[in-house]
Amino acid sequence: VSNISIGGYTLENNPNTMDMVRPQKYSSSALTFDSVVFYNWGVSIIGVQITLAWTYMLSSEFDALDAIYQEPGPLVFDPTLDSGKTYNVQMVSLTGTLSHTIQGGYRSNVQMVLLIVGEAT
Amino acid sequence: MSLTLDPVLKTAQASQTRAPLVSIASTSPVPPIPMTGKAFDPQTNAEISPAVVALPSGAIAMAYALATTVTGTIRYGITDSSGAQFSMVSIPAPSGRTVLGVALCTVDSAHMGIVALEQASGTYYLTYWLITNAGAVVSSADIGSWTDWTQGPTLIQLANGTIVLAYARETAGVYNIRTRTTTNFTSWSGETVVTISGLNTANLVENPSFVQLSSGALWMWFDYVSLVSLTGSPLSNVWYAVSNDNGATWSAGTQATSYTTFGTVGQRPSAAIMGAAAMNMVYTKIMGSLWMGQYGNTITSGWLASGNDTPSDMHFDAVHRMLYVVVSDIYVGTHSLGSVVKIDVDAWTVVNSWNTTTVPAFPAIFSEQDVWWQAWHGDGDWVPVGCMDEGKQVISVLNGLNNTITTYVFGAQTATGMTANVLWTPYANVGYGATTTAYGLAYPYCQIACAWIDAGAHMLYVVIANTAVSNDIQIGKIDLLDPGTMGGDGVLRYQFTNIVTEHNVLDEYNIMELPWIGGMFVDPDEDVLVVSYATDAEGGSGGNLRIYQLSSGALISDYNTASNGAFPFGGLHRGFVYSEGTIYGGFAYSSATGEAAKKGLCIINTSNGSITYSAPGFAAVNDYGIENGEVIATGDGRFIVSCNGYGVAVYASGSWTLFDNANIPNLTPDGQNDFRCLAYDPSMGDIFAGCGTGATTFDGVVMFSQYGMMEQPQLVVVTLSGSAWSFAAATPLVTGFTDFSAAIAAPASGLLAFWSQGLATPQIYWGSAAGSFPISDYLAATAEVAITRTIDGSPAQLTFQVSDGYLFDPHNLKSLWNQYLAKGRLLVVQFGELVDGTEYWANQGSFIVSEISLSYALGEYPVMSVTAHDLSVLWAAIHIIASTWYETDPATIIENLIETYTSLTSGDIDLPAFDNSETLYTQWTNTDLASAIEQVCERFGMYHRMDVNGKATAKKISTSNPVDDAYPDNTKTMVFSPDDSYSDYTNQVIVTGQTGQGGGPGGYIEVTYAPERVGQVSGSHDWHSGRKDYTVYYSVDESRTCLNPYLVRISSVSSIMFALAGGCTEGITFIDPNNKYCVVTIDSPDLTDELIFALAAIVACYFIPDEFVGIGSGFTIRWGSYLDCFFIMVALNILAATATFQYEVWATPVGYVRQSVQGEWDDYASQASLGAVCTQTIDDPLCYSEADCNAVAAFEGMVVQAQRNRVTFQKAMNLQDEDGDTIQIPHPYTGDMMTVFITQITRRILPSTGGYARDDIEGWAV
Repeated sequence: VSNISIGGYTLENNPNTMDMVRPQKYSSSALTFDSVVFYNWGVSIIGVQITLAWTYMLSSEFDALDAIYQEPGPLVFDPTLDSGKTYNVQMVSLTGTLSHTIQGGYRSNVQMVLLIVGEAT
Repeated sequence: MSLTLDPVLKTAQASQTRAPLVSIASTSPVPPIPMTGKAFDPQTNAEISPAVVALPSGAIAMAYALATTVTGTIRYGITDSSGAQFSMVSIPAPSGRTVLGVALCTVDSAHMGIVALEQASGTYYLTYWLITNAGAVVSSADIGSWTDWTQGPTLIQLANGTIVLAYARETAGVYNIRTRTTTNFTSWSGETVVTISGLNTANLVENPSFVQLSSGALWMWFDYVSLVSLTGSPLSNVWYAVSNDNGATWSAGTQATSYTTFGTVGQRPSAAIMGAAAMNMVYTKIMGSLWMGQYGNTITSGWLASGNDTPSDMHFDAVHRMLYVVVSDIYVGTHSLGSVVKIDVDAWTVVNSWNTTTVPAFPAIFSEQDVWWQAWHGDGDWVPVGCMDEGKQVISVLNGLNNTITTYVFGAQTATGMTANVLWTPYANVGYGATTTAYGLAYPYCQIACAWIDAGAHMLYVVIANTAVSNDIQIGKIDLLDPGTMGGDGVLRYQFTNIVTEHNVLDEYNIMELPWIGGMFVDPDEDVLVVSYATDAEGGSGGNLRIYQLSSGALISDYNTASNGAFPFGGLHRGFVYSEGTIYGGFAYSSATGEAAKKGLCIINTSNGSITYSAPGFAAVNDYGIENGEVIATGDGRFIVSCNGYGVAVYASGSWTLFDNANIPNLTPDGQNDFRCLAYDPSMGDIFAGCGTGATTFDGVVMFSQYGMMEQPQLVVVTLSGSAWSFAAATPLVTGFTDFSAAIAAPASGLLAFWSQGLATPQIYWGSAAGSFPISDYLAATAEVAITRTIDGSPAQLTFQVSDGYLFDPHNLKSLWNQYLAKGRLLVVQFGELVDGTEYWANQGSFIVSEISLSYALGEYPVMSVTAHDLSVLWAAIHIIASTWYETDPATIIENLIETYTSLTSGDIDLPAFDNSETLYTQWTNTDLASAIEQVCERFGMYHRMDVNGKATAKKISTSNPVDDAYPDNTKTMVFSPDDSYSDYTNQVIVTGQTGQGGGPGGYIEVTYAPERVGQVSGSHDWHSGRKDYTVYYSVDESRTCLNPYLVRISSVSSIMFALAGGCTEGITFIDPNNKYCVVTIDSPDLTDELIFALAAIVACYFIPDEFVGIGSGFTIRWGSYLDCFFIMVALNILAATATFQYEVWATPVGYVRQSVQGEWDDYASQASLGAVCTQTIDDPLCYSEADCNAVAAFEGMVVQAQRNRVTFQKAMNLQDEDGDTIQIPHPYTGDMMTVFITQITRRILPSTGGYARDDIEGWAV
């Protein structure tokens, strides 16, 4: 499995967990006096948020991602799916914890949230 | 009737499972080409040489030069792949170099390349910059430098990856286009001379520009000078050559434009590929001037003039950018009106023109009498035109925006059947013994000398001169918005208010020549009125220039030769200007002693009284033709002066700049320099000048730039047909004539152009021919799209929010999307449903953006809120000064109003038949279009609306309308509430009207008023006067009707001799059968016979001998002497029998009034239950009978009752339903069917999770 890339940066280590990249269904309903009206607004990948999580991450990699986080975006996100699709995303958040119990430069409990704004390919 | 939907879409409306769709598209309300242009990246310095490239990613890159004289700068910018907004950076040129031109191309997916042509100390430099897409410089160096003249450059990346640089260079008198190539933008080949056969290398070739077709063919566009005039003007055209080997060899040159005169040429081509078989080519058309009028057999379309007709007055309406030109025959015979022409100066086309045969028309008198020239000063969209002949006191005022002509008749024109309609008192009538004449004026020789309009105060100022009775001047004003006072004879009359009245202050020469060479100037800002009483006559004391206070008429100062020897003897001719306390004007040159040195422009400083002269330096003559021209102020301290016979000059602080056919090629098509009236466009620096001699030469108006040649980019569509390329006719790419050097690209959104605008300090502008832009792709998911339609006549309203608000912000000049939600932009809305994967749509109307709001705040996403209304929102802002007179059915009236005052045509109007339609007799003055249409609709129980297809229509308001749509169950209704909050206790409606309203049926009824004095007679009666008749009209304009006239004797004719001879009779002896006048007869005995007898007796008495009586000492009786004395006394009494008289004629005025009619509606049940009658009274000017009033009262009563039965509810969206429909729904509790007339419907769609698609309805349960 090849590694995921974000904004031209290829991760040294893929996340431990990552949300599935799949379209979201938008719908709603309204009660009427005798029935209910169901509104189907369709499905769309746009607006879907993808959370990527690492238990530990090298601080150098975190710094590289943090530099991308600071940019206004959008970024190209390649989740290395079988479909080969890549997405334009905004990096909504990047969080992590300093860990002093492990030697070397590491960050723990790193979490990145990407907002898909469109399909790139 | 509910809307007709696609059957599938209609079926979907009944489903409980819905998939609603929303589409909002932004389009231009007018064709996008020619482009009006929007400012871009404003900088302080001149912005020139734009270049633009559309990248395969969708991004757009552009660059241009800041032409500073020290060290130039290149501005570069690029958008993201959406092509929305540019991020700009500055790239400075090497120190000390001025940037002359910039070229731009792609290098690879991450880099762009820029080459600039620079100049410093006579050396030309070509410098490259390899930059990242974002604009960071990677590498830069000079490609080459030399002192040869060089021009360009241009760049293209060929399909094989090679980048070609081209520029024009002259070496030893040989002009060539030369190329260099590179693949990495840092290593450049040597220079290659492009060989194009068919060109003379001794002639200038420049401005190369490339495009490459998908076939690989490389086109190079350029311009080539084939001829140079004696004055150095080039005859240049756009050419092209084609290479099929990536520029190694080239075809022969082919000329693409065909300009043949030095006055108009083509330069600076640029092209963009528009597909495999088409390209757009733009170039800059350079013109000495634009003209229109008549030149030989060529007459501009719409220019209504003929013969000797020549521009005689003109002004520029800066708000609407329209030039109004009065055209009259100013050279031969009667100087009558040709026409008034309205010209769109940006499109340079005639928008409209008016003469005595158009609709509306000027009165026929203008075809028969003298209009003269430079006497009628227009302003804004008002144009006055007057007759200045003796006794022909008529002024018509055209409103070019509202397409109306109002005529002010100061004295009745019996020959042309014009009734006097100005309420004024001729000054010569006041105390100077003048009598009424057939013209209704104090004297038929009254002349309207000149007039001036101040649009801001909507005031017409008029100068009236009268020399025949006495030397009178009367200056006054008429409010152009005065709706007039309707007289009993059905004539609207307008009030004239005096400002200045002078009697015998100036001599007859001053007054006599005022209408012909004198003039006026009004400066309302400084409260100044200047009148020049010029005279070129030998007699008299010379001309006067009098300055009055505009508000009071008080004389401020008077300039003449007697008080100031520096003043020109004859005074200033018309066409002078008052500007910030100084007067500039022309005058007739005189070689008389003390006058010969006064030449050129007369300058009068009113603050210190000094008078100086400035003679133009372009000729050493006595007469510069200024007295036959005009002087206007530019507003920046300069003055434009038409020097008849020489050209048009600009005067500034003692210096003169002349524009004529010598320095502007083909300034006039026939080369003449005979200019008179002038106008000026300060925003563009364009000068308009009336030109002509009334002969067979050019008679018309020219437009030229004070900055030199006028420039306008042109668009040529080039298409491949078979194996041949065809060129469509060139059309303007942009509006305006100070635009040049356009560069174009063709991104996915459509043609995109950047160009320089402004000849003084050009700025980069851009325009797009992008078609429809999908706003709905950017709808904010947190806000609904809502459309509200109501029956109250309000325009339908659309509201929504969009994301990326900063891109749509009109103030974000770097965003190409800033146009899509700008005020006035047209939004086309559709709602629909997705059914089995197929989209079905229904129109929801066209709206124009009314309001936007956007909040920039740290931490907040910039969402833009948009409010738009249908096109009828403009109607409330369209002012009707005075509509035409209508006497037709309501639908025809509404259609005519809409077509007259809006851009909608008959195809945009779909009015139904009006129930109980009848002829209306009406005219609207001083109101707005919406109010006029609403008044007609309400008269017939209708309301006007724009339908979902954008057509103007109307619907019937009635609780009796048939049911349009029925809902059998409550599966769609969500919320229900009775709501009578809009109702009141009205249970009686009374509507009043008047018969004969506006001339409608029923007519007027005749009434009489209390007797009043209607005329007077005074004079003297002699011993031999005998019988005399005096005709006394009951009004000055002879139109008033009075009954039962009688005489009131203030002073009677009486004398002893008249009494002895039998007495006098005085009285009314004849009454006009039409009751317009009576005849007062004074009959006294004619004592001629008695006088002769007395004189004879006196003579005879000399022959009567004396008689001596011898009584006492005796005495003599002188019978002859005694009798002589007696007859002398008789004769003297007869001769003294001259008596003055003064009578007043009193009569009973006859008036005509309309008869009131009334209709009534009563809700007796309510009156009984309330125990009170609550009355609403309505005055409807369109009701002419009791039946009309009853109909309106019944309608209003229906509305009153219906408001008490108002309900509100929500239901699932049904695209069939609309305002004015009648639908049925079950009551939510009882299930009983309710019929509801929809008074308001708000259709709301929130297309996201938690969203909805529903109709919020307000209606009347019936």
